[in-house]
Amino acid sequence: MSVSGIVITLGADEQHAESALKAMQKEQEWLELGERSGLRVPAVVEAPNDPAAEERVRMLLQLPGVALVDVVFVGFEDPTLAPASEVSSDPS
Amino acid sequence: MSEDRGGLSTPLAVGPLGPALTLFLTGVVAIALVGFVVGVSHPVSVPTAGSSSPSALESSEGLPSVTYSELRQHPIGPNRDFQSWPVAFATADSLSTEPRPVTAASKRLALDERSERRAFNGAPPTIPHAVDATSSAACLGCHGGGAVIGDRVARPIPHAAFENCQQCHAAELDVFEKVPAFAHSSFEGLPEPTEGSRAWPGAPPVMPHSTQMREECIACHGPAGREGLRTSHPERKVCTQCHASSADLERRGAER
Amino acid sequence: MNQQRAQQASPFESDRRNFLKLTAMAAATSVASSTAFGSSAFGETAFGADSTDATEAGASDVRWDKAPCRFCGTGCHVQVGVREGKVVAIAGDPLAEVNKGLLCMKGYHVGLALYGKDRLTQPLLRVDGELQPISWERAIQIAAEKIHAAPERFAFYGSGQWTIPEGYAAQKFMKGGLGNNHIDPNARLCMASAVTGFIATYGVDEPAGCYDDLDQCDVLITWGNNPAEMHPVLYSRVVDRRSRGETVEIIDISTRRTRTTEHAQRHLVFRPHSDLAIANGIAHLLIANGNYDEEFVNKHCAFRAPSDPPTLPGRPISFDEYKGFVAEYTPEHVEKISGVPADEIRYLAALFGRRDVKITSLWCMGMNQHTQGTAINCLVHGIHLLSGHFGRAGDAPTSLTGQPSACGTVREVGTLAHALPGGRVVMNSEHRAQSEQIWNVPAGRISPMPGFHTVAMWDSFCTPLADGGKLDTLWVQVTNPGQTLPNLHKLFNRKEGLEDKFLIVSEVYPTATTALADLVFPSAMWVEKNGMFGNSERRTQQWFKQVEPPGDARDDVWQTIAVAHRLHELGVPGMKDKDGRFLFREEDSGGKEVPIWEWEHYYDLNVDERLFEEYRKFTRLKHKDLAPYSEYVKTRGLRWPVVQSDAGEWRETRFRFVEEQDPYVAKGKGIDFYHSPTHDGRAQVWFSPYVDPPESPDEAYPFWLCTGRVIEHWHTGTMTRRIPQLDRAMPRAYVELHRADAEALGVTSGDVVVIESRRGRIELPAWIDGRGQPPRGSVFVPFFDESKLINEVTLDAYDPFSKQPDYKKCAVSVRKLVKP
Repeated sequence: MSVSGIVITLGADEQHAESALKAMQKEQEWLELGERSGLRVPAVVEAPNDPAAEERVRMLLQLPGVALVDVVFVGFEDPTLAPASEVSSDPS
Repeated sequence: MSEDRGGLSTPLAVGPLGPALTLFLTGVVAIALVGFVVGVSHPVSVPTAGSSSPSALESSEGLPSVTYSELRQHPIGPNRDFQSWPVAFATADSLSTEPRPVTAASKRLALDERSERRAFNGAPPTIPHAVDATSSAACLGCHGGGAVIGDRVARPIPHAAFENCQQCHAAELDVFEKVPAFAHSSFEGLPEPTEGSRAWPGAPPVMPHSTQMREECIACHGPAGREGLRTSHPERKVCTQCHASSADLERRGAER
Repeated sequence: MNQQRAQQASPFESDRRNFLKLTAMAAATSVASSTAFGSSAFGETAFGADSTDATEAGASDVRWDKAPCRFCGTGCHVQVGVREGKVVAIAGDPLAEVNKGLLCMKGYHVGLALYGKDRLTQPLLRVDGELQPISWERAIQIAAEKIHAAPERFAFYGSGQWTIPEGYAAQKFMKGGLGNNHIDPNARLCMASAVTGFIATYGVDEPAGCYDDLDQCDVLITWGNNPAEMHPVLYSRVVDRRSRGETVEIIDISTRRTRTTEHAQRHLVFRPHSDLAIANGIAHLLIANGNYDEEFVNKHCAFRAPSDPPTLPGRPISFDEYKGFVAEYTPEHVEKISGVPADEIRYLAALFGRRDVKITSLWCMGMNQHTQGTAINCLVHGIHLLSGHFGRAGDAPTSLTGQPSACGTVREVGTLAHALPGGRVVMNSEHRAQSEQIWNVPAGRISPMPGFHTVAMWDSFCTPLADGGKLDTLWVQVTNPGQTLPNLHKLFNRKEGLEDKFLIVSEVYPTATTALADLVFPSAMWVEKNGMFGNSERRTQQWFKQVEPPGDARDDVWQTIAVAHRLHELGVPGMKDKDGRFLFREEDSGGKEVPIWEWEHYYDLNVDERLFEEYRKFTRLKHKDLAPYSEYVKTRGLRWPVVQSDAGEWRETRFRFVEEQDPYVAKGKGIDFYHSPTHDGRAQVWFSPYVDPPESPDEAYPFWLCTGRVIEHWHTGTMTRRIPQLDRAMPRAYVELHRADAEALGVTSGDVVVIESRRGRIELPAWIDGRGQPPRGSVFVPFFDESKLINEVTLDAYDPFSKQPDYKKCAVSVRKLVKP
């Protein structure tokens, strides 16, 4: 299980930004949107593993209206990889 | 900076997590790591994803530059310097906690810092961090209004935004394995101006540089500007009311 | 930090996931919300800047003057700041229509190009394998003697970076003096196919539209073109319109993803060479759907197809024949050839079928460096004509040039093996007579036989005389063939060690070319001399010398005239005009000859102005009228034809062939292609079939190789790599690979890979998801790096009409370098 905190920076074109937001809202399964602040939207991406998280972030980046996606926090928990008492910031 | 920083209100329910969480979160936020769109003031050694070792993090002298082969093959998101790093923005207040008069030293420092990134006074500054996202929205995310990232500041742009920032601004990072400079230059650029002339002591100084691509005085002379360049009277909004531009510098009359 | 987190984490094992989410969101929120400065921070800043120990910057003793940028064909004007005899600053020129005050990173740093520490400052002669300093006197004597020994075995290799007077002097020296047509420019490698495309379509070279189209178009189509990096100021001119609330749709038709693609709404990735099929596919649908511009076609167009044997004018065909030819190119068939989805072809065709949108096409090397370069140029003109997207502001097929005076010097002065100034050709006796008359040389001086074009010239120069080589002395000015020629082993490197070959190079820095030079002339560059350029939109530009060249470096025009005068002294008859006077005689106002071949007297008068005024007499024939020199001094360039109004004003032309814009279109005509190849005012809509490229990937060489450029470096990087800001940003060449190919090859970014073709091999670091992204099965390498000569790998096959080689596609193998 990989959980990442990301900041989505929207483009200046409000129409595109809106449609990007709409599209993202549909992804509740794995994407939790925070409170928008100007062009930035904090969000949390969940994925079964780290590569899948990368793929999802890349997917967000492809949305028209999204200018930038920055990963500001990565934590993952996989019993086979990490001891339960540790939270790592390093996805590798 | 009007956001409520103390509460760190998140849309997630805090639930029974209590003070420990607050402590932890404060920890996360307080850890000012190298930059979001990365770092903004250090002349060298911007970290990249390949060098994400904790020891590198703790070093206060900046991070070793990585070799080209250390670059990740699959960057997440557009900025590889940032990706696997938990990063928090400090507050803007941390920049200017107490009023400090401009001193000769602070001004010199500011001008020296400026010169480091510019071939001559008026040249577009080079970019001291990795850039993978080429949309202007990505740049303006931080450079639109300026931002503080850890101990670095993303300066706001002093000119109207264009669509293709990297048309003029070259990224200075060694994306590649360090190679020696191709050749040496004997170019000596026009230095940063130090002071505008005044009609008499106390008179408002004339602008010592042209306003071309520098229309927004406040970008450099406002609170997000370097300490040694800030105005003493930010409450006055119409700079050009008192500060004349120089016909010479603006090349007015260079009509030929 | 890891420690800290681990400690904090332990109490929440019961709900780790929620905890992580909470943490992640907190971090993200704090970043997202804490960005902008509020004005409240203002109150806490500093007090007045009282006396500092700083001195006046002394900026007011900087003298500013205009000059066009030294680099690309866009033709931006810069303001050059000079203090104490040195260039110290550059600014965009707000009075320049081309760039309106903006520049690109190269332009802002153009002044630094003069100050590399390794500038060549004295003439050098190769003695025992080493270049040794010699005097100018001796250098000129040696060059003259070499030429004198066998004038017919001498060739001049020039450049689209030649100023207009430089190209004109070389042209007159060769064709009007030596009666030798072996003069060709590097522009052969960059825009020759555009020339043949224009001539085959309109009967006359150079675009009808101009950059104003970029301000007006609703749709911009970039054909194999990456203006975001190669013509950044022009691309900005389009995309910045979006900041002003205008909409412009950009369609990028290319063989890889580039920075241009990032601003495009649609990206059509086609298989190399299959642009021919795409253009035919659009033409087919325009006719099949009946939405071509019938009125425009009936009034202004005729149809043409390749002849057998192939000739540039081809053969006339009827509309029905044309319709039959393109019928084969159904969207599905085009998809099969090109890989571009049929629906995208339909979309493009529908767009061209609309009269209410204005479409501008841009292209440069992608279409020109093509073994079917002439054909694809003609086809793109053809779909614009067929659909009537021509002649209105914003509706234009426009080819760009890569060099600052590819148009002004090479195409207009005609420094090509078959050309004479002003659109004339050596094969035409009238044209020769006109040129001989203006040059005041005896009838018959100009040879009717075209000389060697670039590839043939270098092949011949690199072949020993005993083995059939026809050239023994070659003079290169303002370019770097040791890096730019294709298949370098064959066309350049072979020269090394050939005893009977003598290479003269006029240069400003040591280059791959000077490495094999026998004699080096140190040259003045850019604002170290007077000059004139002609940019991609027919704009002729002028500048004055603003600083002294370093050491003994001297103007290229002077070098040409000095060698010519020495040949004159040696008694070469061609250096005399009809009246027995020196070919480049210039007189002062009192009619006394000024010895401009002596450096001390070269600037006694403005040689540029004298040469330009003479050259101007050539420009009327093809209605490319130029204004007097003094008019260009006053402006940031003027677009020809520049015609004097009755009121005496010199008026430039924005749109050619269009009534009320072009003074040569009669009232009531609307549009008149007055140089029509068919002499009836009609432009030619060409059909050319898709044909396979000369070399395609196969089992042994399974990848396509494409070569090109990056924004930081111009041409072979000899200038831009000496600018620290640009060198640091792009210090070396690399190879772009598709991620999946890289994975299959076991290559990650930074691994050294070996690129190998049938002609050569090169080792380069891989860059995956880097500046550009080629599709699977295809790699890209920039050519600026002289330590990584990709042209040792490229193919020297060329277009049959333009003789321009194809640097954009050949077959290579790619493998990870295994270190022993």
